[in-house]
Amino acid sequence: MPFSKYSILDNIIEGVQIISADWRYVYVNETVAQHGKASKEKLIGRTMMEQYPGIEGTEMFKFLKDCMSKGVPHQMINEFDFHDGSKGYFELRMQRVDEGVLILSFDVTKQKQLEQWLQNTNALLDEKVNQRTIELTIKNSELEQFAYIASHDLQEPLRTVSNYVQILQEDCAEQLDASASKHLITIHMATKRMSNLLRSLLEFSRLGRNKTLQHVDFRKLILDVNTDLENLIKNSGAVISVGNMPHLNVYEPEIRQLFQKLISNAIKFRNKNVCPKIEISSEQINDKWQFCVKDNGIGIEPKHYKKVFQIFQRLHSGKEYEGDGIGLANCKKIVELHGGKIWIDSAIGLGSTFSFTISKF
Amino acid sequence: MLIDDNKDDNFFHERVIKKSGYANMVVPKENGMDALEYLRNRHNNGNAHPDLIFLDINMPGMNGWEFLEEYNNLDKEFQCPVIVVMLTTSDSPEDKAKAALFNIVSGLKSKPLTIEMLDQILEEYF
Repeated sequence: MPFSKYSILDNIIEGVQIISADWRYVYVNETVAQHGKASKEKLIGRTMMEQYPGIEGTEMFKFLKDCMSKGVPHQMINEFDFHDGSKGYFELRMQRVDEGVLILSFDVTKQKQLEQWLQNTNALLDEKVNQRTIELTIKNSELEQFAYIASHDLQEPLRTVSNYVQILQEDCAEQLDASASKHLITIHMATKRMSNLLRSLLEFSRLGRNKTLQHVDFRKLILDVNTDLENLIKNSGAVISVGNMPHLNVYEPEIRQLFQKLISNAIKFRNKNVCPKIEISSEQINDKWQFCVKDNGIGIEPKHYKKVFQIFQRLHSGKEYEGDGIGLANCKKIVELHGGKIWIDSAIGLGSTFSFTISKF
Repeated sequence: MLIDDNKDDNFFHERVIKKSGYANMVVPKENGMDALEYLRNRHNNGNAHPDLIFLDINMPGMNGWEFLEEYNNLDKEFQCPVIVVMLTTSDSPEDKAKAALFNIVSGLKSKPLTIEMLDQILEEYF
């Protein structure tokens, strides 16, 4: 039996074959026979070209020739077309031996198929995500446009109502009795309130429309906001401390509005007979900056933590605390524009801390 | 001159101006085409050529901005000293930017026109 010295390789999991200088199979083990979908007996003595017509034109054969003639070893993944039309992938290592070239082959078809499946699935997922993103972007801008148009166009008839109320008040004062005059005042106040609500809605829909990032000194920005709120701060006796602050790239007008709202809220919702104390701090956490605005005010019940950020939601009547129920909804939208989150920690009667994060741009 | 498709707004604004006593005459027009035609006919209007135009933006057909483009092409003698653009909503950055493109726009105001606004306009431009 020729080449019996290789019989130890007959049944190993890796394919082993030896090709002679005239391209005949001189040794193949069971695995090669399986890979090649041909019996050992059929292979031995045949040439590669007989077994696989056209093999001379393949890249694999080029390396095989180099190995045979120049002794250049090579390692490669070979894509292999079977007679039955199926495809196989084999990791090949070739090296020159006395008899010709020794080829070790390992079936990686399964891995390769899995890889391709993963690639296809990823591509499909990417495509789906892109499609969804486009759909969402369109929906989002539609919604913004809707809010803009709604609030803009609703102002007009409302103004007409309030204009005619004014005409009645001015021109028909003598004809109106006391209760009619009172009703007109009520109509006037209601239209004014609705007009303010529409204006707030419009501002909400406009947030982030002009997107230009600016490098902002947060300390300076907060001190500017405090200057704007000077009267409120003075009248309430509030003490505001500002810790270390970063410089960040942000949408400046929006961030200004955010601090203005949080600081004025901290003062507005203060405990009676207690001097408001507000601490503003910042801290870098991983790739984000976290800011806290801490007060010693009336606090918020945990069950309302989410509600306060919803548009037109209010916890207090207009008599207790004035407001239009949009301030914190604006804050949430501004923080989200900056890739962050906003949340509350609070204890009733002791104070609230509004914390928010901002991604670094 | 008032240019506004909203009759109620024209009515109210005309009333405010008349009550103020600042104007001898108020010419309300409900669209830009009528207004342009009136301005071009200056010689047939006697002394009624406007000193001040209040212009609405949101109008069907020819809107306020389109009116301004046409107005720009008018012979100087047909134009007016002051144009104030009347906005439905206050503080619109888009409208402000657009108005800035027209040198002929003197100012922007939010509806409704009030006597205080008239005082201010008179002080500023006349």
